[in-house]
Amino acid sequence: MNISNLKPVPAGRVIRGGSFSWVLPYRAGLVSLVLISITLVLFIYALMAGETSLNPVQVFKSLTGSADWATNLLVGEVRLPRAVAAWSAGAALGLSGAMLQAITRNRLASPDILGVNDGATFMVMIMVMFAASPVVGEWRISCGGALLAFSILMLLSRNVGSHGHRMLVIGIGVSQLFRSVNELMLSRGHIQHATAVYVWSIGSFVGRGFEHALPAMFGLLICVPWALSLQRHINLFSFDETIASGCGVSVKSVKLQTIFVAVLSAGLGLSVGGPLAFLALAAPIAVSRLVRSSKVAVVGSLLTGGLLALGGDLAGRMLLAPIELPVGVVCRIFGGLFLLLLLVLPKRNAG
Amino acid sequence: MNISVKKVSISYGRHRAVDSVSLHIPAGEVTVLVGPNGCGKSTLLRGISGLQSLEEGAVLYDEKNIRRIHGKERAQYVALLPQSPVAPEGITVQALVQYGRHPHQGLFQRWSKRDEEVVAAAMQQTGITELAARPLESLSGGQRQRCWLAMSLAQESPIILLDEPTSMLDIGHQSEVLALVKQLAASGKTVVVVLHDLIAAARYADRLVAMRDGQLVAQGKPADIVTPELIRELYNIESTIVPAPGDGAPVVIAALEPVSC
Repeated sequence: MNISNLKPVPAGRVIRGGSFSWVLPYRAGLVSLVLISITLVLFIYALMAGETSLNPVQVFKSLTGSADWATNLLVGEVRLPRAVAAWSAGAALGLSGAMLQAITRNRLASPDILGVNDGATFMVMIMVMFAASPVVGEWRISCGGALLAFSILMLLSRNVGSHGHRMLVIGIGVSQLFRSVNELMLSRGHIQHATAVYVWSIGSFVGRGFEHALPAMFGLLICVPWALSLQRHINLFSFDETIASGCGVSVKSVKLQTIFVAVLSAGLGLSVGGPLAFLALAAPIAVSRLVRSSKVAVVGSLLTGGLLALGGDLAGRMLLAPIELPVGVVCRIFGGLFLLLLLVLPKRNAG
Repeated sequence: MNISVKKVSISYGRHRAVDSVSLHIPAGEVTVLVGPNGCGKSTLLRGISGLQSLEEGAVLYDEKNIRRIHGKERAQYVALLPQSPVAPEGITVQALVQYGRHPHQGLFQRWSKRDEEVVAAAMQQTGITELAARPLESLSGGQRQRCWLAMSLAQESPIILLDEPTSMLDIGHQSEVLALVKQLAASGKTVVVVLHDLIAAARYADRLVAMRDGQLVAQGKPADIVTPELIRELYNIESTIVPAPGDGAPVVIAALEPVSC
């Protein structure tokens, strides 16, 4: 047998230099490039489309600041900030879903289950109820709500359990608890409050801009490198935990860090425009179908999440124009269909 | 690398699974743990691996206490193959074996020349090179077990611990896997195996360790310690021991009627 042609090949291009070595996965790389290209196209389209439609030249001009005053305002102050907000919200949620699904080895795990959405809605509702004006002012409070839900969860579950299952189950309880309190307050509260909270709990990017996107973007700057550094350890969670720790993974620490990153990025994501149904669930599933790998796709899920939120918001703006559908509603319609399709379609994957 | 187990006790809640066990496990030999279900042999194996914390006592690798070995470093000392391990869906054989290199890799050391060589050698040694691109699920039980062994080998650890590696295999695949285990010990590794099959245990073990109720009952060369008395003490059955043709290893044949007691 000739050893030289029996080299085990990783599915990617190997780059080595000194003690540095890296594998650039072919398929995941290609998928990322495609996702980025589609996102860019959608971005430009989001700047062009609307009640006043612009051509690419006008968009380009306004981006460089050389268009007329009204176009500059429309692109620079309304459409661009909103597109950035939508993308960053979706990206953060996609990342969150990927981390949770990988660590729990469960395709149906998403931050909603951990009570993050309901905790955030709870905080928003408290603020709406006790603020002088019924308008939701500080949306970022929802991030605090997500972290509150997470803290309660940690206190109650104490340890995360094998593959975090204990935490998931308790999370379902916590989110139910929050939901019931929310509904109680809604039913007792003023109709104006109820409307404001309802709009929030559906998820919409109307009037969202840089000031909302910025905290999420900044948070991603922390979460993404953190997630990337955990990535190769998380991959081993697709085995059982004995194998993961046998291979030298500090199982407990990796689980806690992963869940924390997931909750933080989910909180940041939904602080932008409210909870977007299915997004955190669908993005990682879609990527793993495209990449056909059992490894956790940090970058892929981030890009897919951003793409879906941006596309969803755009669809909400365009489908029934001039009436605008909240992105949350679009996510529910297409997310549900998409998920069914994925579950029904036969799957092909490889290591 | 020799392993010393010194008065080790391990409890799950109130249940004492391993009770003050002391052992010396030399390198280059196959040490087999046997005993009835729930006797604590798998727990002891996990204790030796360092994955299970010890309530009392100590485990030393040569002179080094495993309490002071953690994470990545521990995985470079010892590879543990659990009973019926679970693999990610759709994983290929080579991807599986590559995971064995995890303790030798880092954030910026993803696939060194050494990783490549060791994985190739591990696959060669376990005879799975031709299966490299096949999905694990498509393989037979024996082939799959050899893939897992290759993953453990890729860890390049001097100690290899196997928890019932042959439990689901027919006699052909069983001999195949155990011959490989024997070969690993001959190459200087310290190998500890938990086995249920007494005949295979007595045949392949250089040193047999018998446990019951968390305690050590006997240890030594199979030919010296496998007696009807030991079998009665372990399993509550009467038996006849006959020498195997060829190497004379003790073959346990259980009597038809169990002892009433």
